[in-house]
Amino acid sequence: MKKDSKELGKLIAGKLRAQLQAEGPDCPGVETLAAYVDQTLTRGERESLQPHLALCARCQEQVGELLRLSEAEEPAKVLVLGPAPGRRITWFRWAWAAPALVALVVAGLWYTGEFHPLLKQQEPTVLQAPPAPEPSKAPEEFKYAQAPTSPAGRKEVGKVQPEKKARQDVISALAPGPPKPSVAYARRAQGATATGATAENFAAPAPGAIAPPSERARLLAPAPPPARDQSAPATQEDRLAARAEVPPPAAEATPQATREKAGQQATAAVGGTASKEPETLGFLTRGVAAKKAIAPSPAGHWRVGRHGLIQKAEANGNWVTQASGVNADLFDITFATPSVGWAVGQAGALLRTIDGGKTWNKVPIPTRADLILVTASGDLTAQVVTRDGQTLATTDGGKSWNTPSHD
Amino acid sequence: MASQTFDEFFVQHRTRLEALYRASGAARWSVSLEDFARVAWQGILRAATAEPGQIPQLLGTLRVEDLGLALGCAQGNERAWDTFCSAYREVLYEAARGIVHEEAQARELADSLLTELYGVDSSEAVRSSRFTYFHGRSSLKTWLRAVLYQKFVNEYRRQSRLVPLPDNPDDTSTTPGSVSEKDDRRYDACLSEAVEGCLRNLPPAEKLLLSYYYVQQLTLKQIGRLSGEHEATISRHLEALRKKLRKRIEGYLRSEKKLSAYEIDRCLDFDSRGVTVELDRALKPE
Repeated sequence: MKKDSKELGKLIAGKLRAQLQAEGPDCPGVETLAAYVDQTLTRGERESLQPHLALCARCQEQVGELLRLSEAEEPAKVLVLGPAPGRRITWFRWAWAAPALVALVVAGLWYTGEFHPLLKQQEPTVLQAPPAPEPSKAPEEFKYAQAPTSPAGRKEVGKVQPEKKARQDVISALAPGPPKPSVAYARRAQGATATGATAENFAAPAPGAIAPPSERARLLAPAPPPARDQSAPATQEDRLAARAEVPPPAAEATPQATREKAGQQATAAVGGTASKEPETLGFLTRGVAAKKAIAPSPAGHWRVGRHGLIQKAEANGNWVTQASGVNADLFDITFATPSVGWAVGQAGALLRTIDGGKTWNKVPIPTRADLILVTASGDLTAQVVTRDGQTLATTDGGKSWNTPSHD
Repeated sequence: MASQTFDEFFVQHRTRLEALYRASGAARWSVSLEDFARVAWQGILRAATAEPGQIPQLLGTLRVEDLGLALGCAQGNERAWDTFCSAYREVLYEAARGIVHEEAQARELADSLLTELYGVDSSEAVRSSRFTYFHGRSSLKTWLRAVLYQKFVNEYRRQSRLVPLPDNPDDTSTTPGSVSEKDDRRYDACLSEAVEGCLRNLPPAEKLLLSYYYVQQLTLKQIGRLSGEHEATISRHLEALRKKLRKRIEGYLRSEKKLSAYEIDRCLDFDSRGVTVELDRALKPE
């Protein structure tokens, strides 16, 4: 029977082909066929198109070719822990996540020292609020968290705990709250080229200094409240919130100024107007498409975006696009040195440059998950974080990758 | 119903057009609202003329971001062109490779289209970009692929998917066990006529489904993408269609050709007959 069906199928194919016309005078336009494939035609348009398509060989071939080309572009199916961007999460899927989130938040608060008596006894210098908020004055904690500008200085940094920081970033990003600035944007404000996640924050920490709370507080900080008494914050949380309120330093004062401010100041300094792109937190959260991320770095100001977009800010304030060679959405970019930089994005997209961003080369990585974060500490050393919280590290410029071990 | 003019359309749907204009980001490329609205109107004009009440829905289907970028490129905005190149140059190269399967020729095809899209024409003072033919009804990516394929078909030799079967008379000989060559030819002719007649009378949607599967050799998944259905659903549709077609063929043979049940079985018993005779002639390109 199956063989009969196959033979009948051949006969059908032959007869259909014989009935097809090579092409007709009323062939639809290219855009109509493209819209047909994209399914953006109305029902009436599709129904009116079908009789022609049923008899036109050329239009059928074009439709078939468009489908094949679009299928060739789709990445291979990979196991992604979590829903694809844009998918709606139904409520019952979050039912199991709610207690898990609560447990994570509690664990995080414990770790930050909220419940730790020993840590509460000390007032780390890094958490002290500045005496008076002056927009042009760089607060102590920004200078403290400032990454050394030379790779050599970075080597003096203390032990790296990138995977913890990376997971905390992901946890913080998942925590509910009001809209916050971009995580990568905020993280860069603390130290754009931090080794691992925020190695500089951990670097030679003062006794009792707590870098993770600074990061988490920044992320969880609400919109700046009215001016408060900075001289005597009541609680540690107030100090954290107070520090979060301090505006970023001027771009010329600290290389690790916040992205938005640095970009605007750099642009204003040369009299240009920067492209205004919305900066929103959320590109690390599930279900949200990639947004651009701006990174002040040793190689200047860079940003990445959708469809493989990589741009560098020029002195006149314009953003110049660099060829990335990929079409995947890019989520993060960093430069360890003026020459060596990394960019990461959708479905394992990983790019590296060794000429200051003029050319970007794809780097193989043993994962097809979305890479949402990248940090680098040297020419050959970098770490990436996937959307599901996995961290991968390389010490040979991307030739091999491993999972950093817990210390 | 008289067709609307652009001015009437612009006034009547201005609020919606302004929202689409903002969403498109066309202002980044120095595209005005009126230019944007005019191109959108051209894109939906034909459908809007047929179904004026569908204009809001038609506007909602427009790919406004792509349209804004294309307009910026068509108007010669260099930043728009840079953005387009960074986002779509590789798409064009990959599509060209998928069409031509040869690197050098693919590059040449893609670069040639890029030139047309940029609108370089040394013979005319006015820049004329191919982007003027894009109205946002489809995604820019799909449109680029379609234009590229059409350019390939028009400018290069046509690639036929039909592979001529070898002329081998030996294949047409009857297999051992058949009654006679004369009976086989008669059955072949009846079956061929029945299939042709039944196919001709099929509704366009069903004929198109069979064409996609048997002639264009698309996969179930690809066909499902066109109709928004799962490949399993398409498979069921095809199976149901095959059964329906077979019943119609049997009915045709019974009513039109006056064949008995035994003869109908012989008609459809491909194993015992040299059906390849008919297929050779049927499958060769016209």
